[in-house]
Amino acid sequence: MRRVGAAVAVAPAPFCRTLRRGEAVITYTIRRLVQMLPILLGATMVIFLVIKLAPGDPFSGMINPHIDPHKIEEERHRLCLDCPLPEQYAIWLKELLQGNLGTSIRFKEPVAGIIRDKMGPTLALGVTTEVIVFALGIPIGILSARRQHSWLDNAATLFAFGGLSIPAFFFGLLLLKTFSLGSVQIFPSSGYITPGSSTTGIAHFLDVAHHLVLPALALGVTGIAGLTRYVRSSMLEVLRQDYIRTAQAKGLGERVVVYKHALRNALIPVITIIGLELPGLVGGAIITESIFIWPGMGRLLYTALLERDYPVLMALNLMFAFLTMLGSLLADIGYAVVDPRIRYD
Amino acid sequence: MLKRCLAAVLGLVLLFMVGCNKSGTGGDGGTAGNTPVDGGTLNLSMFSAPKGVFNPILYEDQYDSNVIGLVFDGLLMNNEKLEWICDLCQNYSVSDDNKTVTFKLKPGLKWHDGQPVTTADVAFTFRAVLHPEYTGVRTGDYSALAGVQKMLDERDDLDTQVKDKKITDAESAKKKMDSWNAWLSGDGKKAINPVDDLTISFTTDEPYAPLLQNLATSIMPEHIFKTTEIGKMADNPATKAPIGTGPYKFVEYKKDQYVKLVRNEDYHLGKPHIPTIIYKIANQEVAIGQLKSGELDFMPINPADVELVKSDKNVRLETRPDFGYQYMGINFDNAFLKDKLVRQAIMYGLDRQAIVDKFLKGYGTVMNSHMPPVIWAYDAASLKPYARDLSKAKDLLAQAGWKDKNADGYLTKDGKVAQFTLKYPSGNKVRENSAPLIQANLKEIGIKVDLQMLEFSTLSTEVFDKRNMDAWLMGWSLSIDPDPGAIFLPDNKWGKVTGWTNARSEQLIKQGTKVLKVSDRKPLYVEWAKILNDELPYIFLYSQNVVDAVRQDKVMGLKPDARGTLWNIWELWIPKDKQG
Repeated sequence: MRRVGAAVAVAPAPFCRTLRRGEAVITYTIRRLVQMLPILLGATMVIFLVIKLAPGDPFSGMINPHIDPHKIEEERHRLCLDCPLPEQYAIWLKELLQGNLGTSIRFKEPVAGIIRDKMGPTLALGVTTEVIVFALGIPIGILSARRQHSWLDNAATLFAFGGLSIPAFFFGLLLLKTFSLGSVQIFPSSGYITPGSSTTGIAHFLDVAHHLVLPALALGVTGIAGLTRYVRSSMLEVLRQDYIRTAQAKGLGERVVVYKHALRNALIPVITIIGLELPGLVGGAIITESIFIWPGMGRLLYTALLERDYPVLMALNLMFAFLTMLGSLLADIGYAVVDPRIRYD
Repeated sequence: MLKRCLAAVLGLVLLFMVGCNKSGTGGDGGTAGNTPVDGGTLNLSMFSAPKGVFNPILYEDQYDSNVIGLVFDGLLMNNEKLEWICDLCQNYSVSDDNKTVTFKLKPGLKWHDGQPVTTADVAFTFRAVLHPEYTGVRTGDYSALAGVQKMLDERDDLDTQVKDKKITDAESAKKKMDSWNAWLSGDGKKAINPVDDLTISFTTDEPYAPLLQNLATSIMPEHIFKTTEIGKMADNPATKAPIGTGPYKFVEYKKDQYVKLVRNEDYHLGKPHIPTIIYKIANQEVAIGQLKSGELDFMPINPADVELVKSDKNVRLETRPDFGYQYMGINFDNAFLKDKLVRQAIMYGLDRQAIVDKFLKGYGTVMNSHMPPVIWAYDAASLKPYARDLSKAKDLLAQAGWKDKNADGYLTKDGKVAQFTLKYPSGNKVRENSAPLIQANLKEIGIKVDLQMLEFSTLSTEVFDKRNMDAWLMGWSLSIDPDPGAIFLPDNKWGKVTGWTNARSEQLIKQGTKVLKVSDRKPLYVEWAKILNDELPYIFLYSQNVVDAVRQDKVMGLKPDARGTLWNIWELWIPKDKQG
């Protein structure tokens, strides 16, 4: 009876506080977004410089007696690769501000389109993998911490070490051998869709999902293993703290103690991980993509790097820089949501 | 290093996979019946994604050319002896002064969209390559046509003036167009001369033997491209979704996944039996498993992986020599390597046979000069074989004045150590493995080699642009015509990189393009190859064979020869029980 009364009495205060907090977070977010612009500009300069100062250019890898060296010089001039670097950067920036990411030198088509084509498959793989990672990693971590030194904890630890030690490509090949090229053939061995099929709607979705299973597993297992360890140690840390002992002392059930009191604090480091994962979601995973012939961003970045396809490289790196900053901002906001002690003024 | 580890582990996994995968279906179920039937899908593979530039004069990537080869035809093609015979043409003739080639097109040829093929298409294709706004890199192949070299010299001149800021880009562009128009109404009329709808002739300033090969390139449809400016050809939808005359029509390219093609019912050499081809992008390490499971019908295979499929009764292996070879290039600015005796000593000191035997598992040939065995100008008997002979190598070095004075194992002369840095690119496993072998071999004759591995574009900049190297490893991919001018004439980009010059070599190279008959050209190239064999501007290493693996229970009608394993793709067929 008293407890209910107290709750009613203090109700308006947290409400106001939440409101004020909400405003503070919004102001903070806007301020951070504005701050991002000059940082992003600086980042593009550094990226541009690093990319351009690397030896070679899009044509230097073309070594073939049928290639006309004069024509290559003409192309270099036409693309302004022989212009002074500040001029090249200014041209790139000007185009960017008009919303133009340029035309790929090797694909001979607009960069925006190339990236757009890869975005769907990359996100499908990235998001699926992350969902698997968090859906399994967090519960396993919690269980592991709650039953420290039990057989379950030991099994999880063993799995984590295995998962962290096995390279994704090796695990990928094992998956292929087991589920698509051996006597059991239940998953396709490569690609994003069935070759030659022109399905749409739900059939297309199912086709992609079918192709997604093995690469997502290959990528996910390392992630699960890592996250389990993070959650476990952070949970153990929190469980040792005084307020948890207090909660236990006043007779709360273990479930309430763990899931209501401990979990929130234990998840703070996980938020950092989520924030850091954001660029990874669209960055792709070159080796897994290569093994499963997944049309993702990782392979695009890799070939663009080898071929010095400057417009593609600049666009991808700009995107990664932006997402890295956005990820850390989201993590900072996430802290405020989880931890009321954190203030943003 | 990381890459090599990776490859080794991948190899292991595959061994494991293959070892476990013996439960496949038994042998020659499909060979019953020899009458070709229609139907089925052929699953081909390549290991890197094409760029999707399926335009015969714009593409730069060899994977794009896989698709272009199925979609397009040229005026000429090869027979099994790699001689030039008619493809789109009905016949061709060379004038008495050897300067004019006249082609008569086959009547009734059609583009994939049903339009007739005429000489306007042929003329368009070659004029586009010569147009000043053309953004590809193939212009040089046609510089022998009447008046073209003059026009190209004018362009170079204008480019230099722009560089020196004497004129602007706009002025230069205008002058280039002027000179182009002047050429069109002058020499251009005889250089590329469509006489009527089916007759076209090409005339050169001087007789030029490699012209036939260069005229054999794929012909493009004028009616599709004529409304597009030449400079914007890449934006024409037909660059991405090509329309040709070849045995297969392009359907779609799913980026990084596959190219789908369907047969051209009107193909002029006969209607193909197989209705659909899926050209899959595959992972080289996984493809072997896919071939064995029947998911792929064809793949090029690494010599080192041959063992993995050899025992599979359903897989047929086809080997043929390649049009390329690997070499160690020499910078003649390096005082040590500049000495011919030293280069010959290096040839004797290297165990090149070991590269072929161990790294290529025997699928290759040791090279002693520039011409690879598959080219008609190759004549092994006339060349010194430089079989490994350490005492001979040491003698030659001693003759050159290099002696081991302080007994540290390395030779010295005038206080300098016999030493050079070998730069080599990452990416080609056999080449990567050759470098440490070269280092170890040369240590035995007292030469110290420092190795430096670089990423390919970085290396090629170091070598071809900056000439910042002593020696480097690289390879050439050659074509059927043996003319080595682009690689060994010291007045061009590739030829000047070594710094080696030889008057007789230049003379022979130039003579070799001026006579057209193989019987007249061969002695010139044999003599030329002997000069290289003795002078060694490169340390010639090896030529790797091409090994293809095909599902022989499914793909019928194969006639593999020097042209390739699948050259007669329109004659191939799939038995009824494998069509599902």
